[in-house]
Amino acid sequence: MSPKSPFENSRRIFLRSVGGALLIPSVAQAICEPPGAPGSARPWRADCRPIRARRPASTLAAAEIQKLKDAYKAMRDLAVSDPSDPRGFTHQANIHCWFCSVSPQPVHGNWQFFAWHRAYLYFHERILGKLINDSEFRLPYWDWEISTHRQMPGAYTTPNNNTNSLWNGTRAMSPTDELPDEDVNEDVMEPVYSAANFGEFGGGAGYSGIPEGSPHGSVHVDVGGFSGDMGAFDTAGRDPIFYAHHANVDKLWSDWNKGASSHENPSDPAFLNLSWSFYDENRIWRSIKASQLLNHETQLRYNYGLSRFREILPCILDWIIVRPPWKFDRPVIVEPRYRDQIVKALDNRRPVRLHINNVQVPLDKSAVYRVYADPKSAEADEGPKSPAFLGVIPVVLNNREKHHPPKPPQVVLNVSRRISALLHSPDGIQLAFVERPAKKAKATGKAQLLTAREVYFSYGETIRE
Amino acid sequence: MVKRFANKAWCLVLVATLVLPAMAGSSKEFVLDLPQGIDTASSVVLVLSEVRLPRNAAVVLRVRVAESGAAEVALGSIGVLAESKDAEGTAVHAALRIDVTKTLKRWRKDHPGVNAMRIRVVPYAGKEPLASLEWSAASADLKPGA
Repeated sequence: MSPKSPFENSRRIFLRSVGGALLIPSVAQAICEPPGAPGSARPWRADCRPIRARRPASTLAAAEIQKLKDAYKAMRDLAVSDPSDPRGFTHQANIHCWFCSVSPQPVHGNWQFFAWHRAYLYFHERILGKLINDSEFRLPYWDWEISTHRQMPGAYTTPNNNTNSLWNGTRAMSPTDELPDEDVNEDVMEPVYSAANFGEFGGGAGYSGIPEGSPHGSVHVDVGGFSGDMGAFDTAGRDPIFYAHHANVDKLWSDWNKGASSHENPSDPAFLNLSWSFYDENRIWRSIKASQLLNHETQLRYNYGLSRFREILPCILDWIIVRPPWKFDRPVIVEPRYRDQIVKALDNRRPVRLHINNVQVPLDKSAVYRVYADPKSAEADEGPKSPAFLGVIPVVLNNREKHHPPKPPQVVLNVSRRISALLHSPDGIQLAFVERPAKKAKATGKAQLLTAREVYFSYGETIRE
Repeated sequence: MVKRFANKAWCLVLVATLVLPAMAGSSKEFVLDLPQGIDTASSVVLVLSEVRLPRNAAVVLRVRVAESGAAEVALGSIGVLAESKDAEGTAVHAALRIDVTKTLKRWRKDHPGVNAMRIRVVPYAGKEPLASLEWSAASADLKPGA
C-alpha cells in the first residue's frame, strides 16, 4: 500500500519537482549506486591537521556561515561541472543511500551505526574543507537537545530558497517550526547519556542502541515528514541539515564516552576490525577501521566544546514533584512540609519549576500573559524586575484558522531564583496574571486571579553529584 | 421531513467519514503488565515487537498513556525512517525499543500499586498524526533493566 502523506499537497509536489530539479539536478535523478569500485583501497593515514572544534551551528559568526555555505556550494557545483567526481554533492549523498539501503553490510540497526557515520562525516568534512582550501574547516552541529535550539539553525533556512546551498525544498519543517519537545527533551536525553554500556548506547552486532531510534530517527522524520528527503535512508544525505544533525549524533557518542569510566567502546575485534571505504579530499579511495575512529580528537582532529545541556543534565536524576493542595479562591500558604522541600532544593542550587496545567487565560486572541505570585504585583505589572514575577504564558492562535481557539496551555515556569522569598510570605501565594502590553504601550492593569486544573512544583534531584 | 432526514443522514455519514478514520485510524492500543521490580529498575524499556510498517513510510511512533478523561501523558517516541519513498511492500522490525524510564516513573507516582496500564501508539509524520497508515505491532512489553 502507499499511504498518502498529510503534507503531500500541490506546493510540496511543486517544490520537489521544480525546486529540487533547479538546485540539484543530478541528485534529483540519482540512483543508489556503490560509492566506487576502484580496486583495493589505500589504508587511511594518520591525520596531522590541527585539532579544531565542531561548534553549534547556531553560534557560528556570519563569516563562518558564509564559509559553510561556500563549501556546500562548491560541492554542489562540482556535482554539475564534473558528475564523475566522487567529491560532488550527488555522490556524497549517495554514499548514505548505498550503505543504508543497498549495501550487504548495513550500517543501521547495529553497532556500526555510530562508527560508520563518524567515518562518513569525517571524509565529507575533509572534502568540504579542501573545496574551500581550508584545512581548519569543521562541520557545525545542530544541538537540538537544548530547548532554545529546536528550530533548524538559521544558516540552513536563511534564505529559505534555492539560492542557499544549505537549503532543501522537501523539508516538512518550516524555518519557524520546532522539533517536538518529547522527541529530544531530557526524558529522552538523560537515558542516552546514562546508558550503562555500549550495547544499550550503540547496539551490538545484531541490534541497535536506544538513541538510534530516538532522538536520531525522530529528528530525521520530524524534519523530513512523510515524504521529505530526511525521512528516508536513500535520500537523507541530500539535505545538508543531515550532516549537522549527524554531527550532533556523533557528539552524543563523544559525550557518552566522557560521561563515566564505564562508558567504554566495544573491545571485541569483530567491532574494532570493521572497515569501510570512502573517497578522501584528494579523490583517493581510502579504507578506515572502527578502531581508527574511536578517539575523534587525536585520530580525526576535531573535538566538541562542552555542551551547556550536559553541564546540568548528568547531575539531574529525576524531577521530584511537590504538590501543595492548591486552591484558587484564596491565598495559599505553602505548608512547611512542602516549603521545606522546595527551600532545601533552592539552597542546594537545584532547579525548581512551577507547573500550571490547563491554565484559564483568554484564548480568543494571540497574547502574552505575565504571571505573578500575588495580585498586587500583577496589578503593578513591572515585568521581570518585579520580585513576584514568575514568567509568561504565551497564547498563539493557529495562523490558518484563527477562529479555532487553542487548547488551554500547559506551562512550566523556571522559578529557581524567584520563589524563595515568596515561599516564606505570611500572606501566602495567590497566582495572578495580566496581559503583557504591546511595546511602548502602558500597562492595562487588569490583573486577574489565575485558575488552572492543577498547579504544582518540581525540583531536580541531583544525588549523582 | 424526508429531506431533513436525508440531510441528517448525510451529515452522519460525513462525520463518520471524517472522524472514524482518525479515531480508529492508525493508533494502536496495548495493555501492558507492569513487571515486578519496575519501580526500582535503573532503566525501563518499552519493546514493540514485530512492527510492520510500509517500507516507504517515515514515521515517529509516539506512545501515550491511554486514560479516559485524563490529559494525555507522553511516554516516549521512536523515529523510523523509510527505506525509500519508492519502496514497496512491508518492512518488519523485530523490536523497536523506547526508553521510558523517566516518564514511567513520573506516571507511577500518580498511580502507585497499579499493575497494568493501557497505552496508545500513534504514528506521526511531521506535526500531524497519520490517519490512514496501515501498520501493526505483535506486542508491547515493558522490560526493566538491572
